[in-house]
Amino acid sequence: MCGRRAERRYLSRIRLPVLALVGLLGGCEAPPPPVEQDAALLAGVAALLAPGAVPGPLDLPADHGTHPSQGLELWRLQARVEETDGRAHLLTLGVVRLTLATPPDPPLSAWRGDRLLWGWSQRLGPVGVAFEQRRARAVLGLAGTRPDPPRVWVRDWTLALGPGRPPWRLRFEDAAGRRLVLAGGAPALGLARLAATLGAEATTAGPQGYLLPGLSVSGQLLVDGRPRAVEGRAWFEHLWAGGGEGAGVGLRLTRLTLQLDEARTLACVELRRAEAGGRPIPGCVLVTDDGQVRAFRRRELRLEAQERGTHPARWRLEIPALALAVALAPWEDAPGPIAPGVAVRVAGSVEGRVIDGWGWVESGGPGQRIRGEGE
Amino acid sequence: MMRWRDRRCWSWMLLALALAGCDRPGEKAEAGRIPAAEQRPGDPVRGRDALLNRAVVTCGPPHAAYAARAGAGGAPALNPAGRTGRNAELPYMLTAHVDPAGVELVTSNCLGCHAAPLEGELVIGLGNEFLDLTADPLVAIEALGAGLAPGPERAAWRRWADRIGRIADYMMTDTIGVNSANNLTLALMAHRDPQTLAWSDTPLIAPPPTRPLPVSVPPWWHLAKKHAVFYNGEGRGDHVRYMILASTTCTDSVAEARAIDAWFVDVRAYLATLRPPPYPYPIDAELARVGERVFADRCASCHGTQGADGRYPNKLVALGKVGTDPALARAAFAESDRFLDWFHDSFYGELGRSRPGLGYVAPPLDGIWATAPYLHNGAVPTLADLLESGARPAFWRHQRSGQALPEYDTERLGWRYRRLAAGKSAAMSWAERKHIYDTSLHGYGNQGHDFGDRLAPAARRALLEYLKTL
Repeated sequence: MCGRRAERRYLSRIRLPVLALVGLLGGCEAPPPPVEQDAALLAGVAALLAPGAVPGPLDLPADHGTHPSQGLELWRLQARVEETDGRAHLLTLGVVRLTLATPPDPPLSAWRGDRLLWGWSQRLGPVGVAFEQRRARAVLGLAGTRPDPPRVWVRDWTLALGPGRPPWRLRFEDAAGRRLVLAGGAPALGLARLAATLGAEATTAGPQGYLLPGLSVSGQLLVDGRPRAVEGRAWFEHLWAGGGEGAGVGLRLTRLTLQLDEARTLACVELRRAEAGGRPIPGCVLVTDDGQVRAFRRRELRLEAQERGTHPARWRLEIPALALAVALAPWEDAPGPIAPGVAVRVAGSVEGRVIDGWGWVESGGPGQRIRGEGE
Repeated sequence: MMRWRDRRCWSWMLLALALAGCDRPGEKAEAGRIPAAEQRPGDPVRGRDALLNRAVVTCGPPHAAYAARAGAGGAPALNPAGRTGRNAELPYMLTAHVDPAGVELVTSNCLGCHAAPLEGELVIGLGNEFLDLTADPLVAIEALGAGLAPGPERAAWRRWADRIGRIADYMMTDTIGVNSANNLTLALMAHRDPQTLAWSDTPLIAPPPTRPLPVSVPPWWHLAKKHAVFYNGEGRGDHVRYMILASTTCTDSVAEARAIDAWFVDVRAYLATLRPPPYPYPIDAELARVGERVFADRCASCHGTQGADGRYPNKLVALGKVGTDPALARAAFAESDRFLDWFHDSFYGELGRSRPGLGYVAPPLDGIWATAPYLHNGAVPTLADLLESGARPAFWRHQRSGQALPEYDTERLGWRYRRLAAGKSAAMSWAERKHIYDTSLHGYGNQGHDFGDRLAPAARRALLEYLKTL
């Protein structure tokens, strides 16, 4: 078990948002309870693009390392892989680090640390959904981060980040036999670049991060308990924030990351007022494997949710300058937003060529909830 | 031979056609002189105070939200003398205002477009040729309201934010320095009932295009001489109501409009007292005297003369003669009947006639040295370029570092600029693109007004020297 009694005593003294996140992490076997989104994971993901705390400039290769002084840090890969027989899987695999309160010095026990790490993975495959998680405090080597070479681990999961410049090479492995190698040479897309499409100016005080698009991925997954060789395409994100920024009250942010085809990744954001009224503000950045980056602002594109709700998965996106018109629909058998976001299929055309891509849509804002496995 | 009944029939038909062609009697103008119209009297002293301290735009973010975002910065730079109370703490282009619910707001004012720094001083009346309207304002607006809890402050923010959301696309330009206030004015008209001035979130008439035609802000010190407010001869009769029309973001009733109009007559009276700043660099007086003769011979018939016995002809010059980019004049003449109707059906049209013409008014040249770039669309960066059409750059950008103003070029009379080999389409980023003035774009042309081409280089040099003295 996980030492839950001691954990509860500790958590009773920290602030409510942190309690909410720990609630999500709580219980190794039991499904995690729902949490308030703005207090938990999206404080480190969606809020990274909130106005007033917009991303600062990127400093690679240094930023490819870890950021222990920041309250929140997230590493995540998302991929579409195929087995040798053609069966496709969509995979999300991430680790988030949250700094809690500073423990007394000297600590009351070796189990007491100020950092929690939570890893989760979700695989959508032909036979349903597989969800796993790991969690631990950064004590006694159970979990932690190392800056050089950058490495993150939580229990038996290890993510080695490789060098901080192209060609990128990242590696994930766990004790069960899963292992994935991600490689690619496309430029990193800084979140400041994405925020700039909304008309937001980068600040050094804001949260930061980047996306590595267009990565090839190969390795081995466990499907129905058996190892399967897989390969496909992926992107990787690394985000960090002080933890106090939070999504602006009354604002909702949606991120759409779409793999249009083998060579093109489209990252979009849409900011809108949570209450009725106001105009949605979208922006997109297209990154191609040959290193070209092209930004599109609100007036250069049209992005519309085709359904209501807190986590719309059906969208239409048009970018006339690219002759792009695509529709997003939930990936088959997608169980809804889990940890967080919803997998989507991308269908349409770009410059007359048919698109059959994939991606993820994540929405965040006040009063929303991330739902964990089993809900 | 045509029978009498046929002749009578033809006469009726001609009359009917004539009437059909005059469904807006007197609303459009021929080229030629623009007649004077009496302006309502006002108190220029009260007008200056009102311009600096009263809100003509009556909505904006709550001061608390603004202050949280802007931070405490002490006395803002360039604030002119006479800013009182809260206004003394705000940048000159913002004005404090308390709304009917008691919420203190920060609102935009006329000086954002009609004042600019020059030689380290703020010059009221100098058009701001470095205003950046390329940025999408929506994110910043939403950010200002993001921390406001439900209540009067949030309601006030929301009213303003929703308005700006409706009109933002009509304000945004793709080039720093050009102004879109005329297009914004048309968008505001489109969203209002002309009789009641009540706002409608959906346009009541077709709105203007979302790609504003570029306009260079004319100096206010020309107002005392001009009979029509706008470049195309539009805006005749009483000037005040034209002036306040561009600031009606939240003027939602005739009563509110009437209240603003009542004190804006003082503002107009103050603006009529403005004079241009003197040229601050050395002038070759002898060469200027030579240039004065060139001016009298070649320029004065349209632009008027200076001095105690000076005269200004208020001449609308036909497009065919002046030859400058026709897009602005044509759009107002041929594609804006719905706005003419709106204007004349509204409170704002009670005292004036719009009368756009197919041409441009030859402006007074007082203080012309300070008003670069030139032509109605700001397409020509210096006076030297204006007087020699072959020298005009097709693609150019001001030579500046960050937000700092460029240096003034005392040889060519204008802000220093860089000639570029290609226009916006060759720019690698939006940040680069917005700085490029691209004369190949619709409405951005730099052609026409080639009268200086006929001058010998020495005469042109002398004319430039004389223009420094105006």
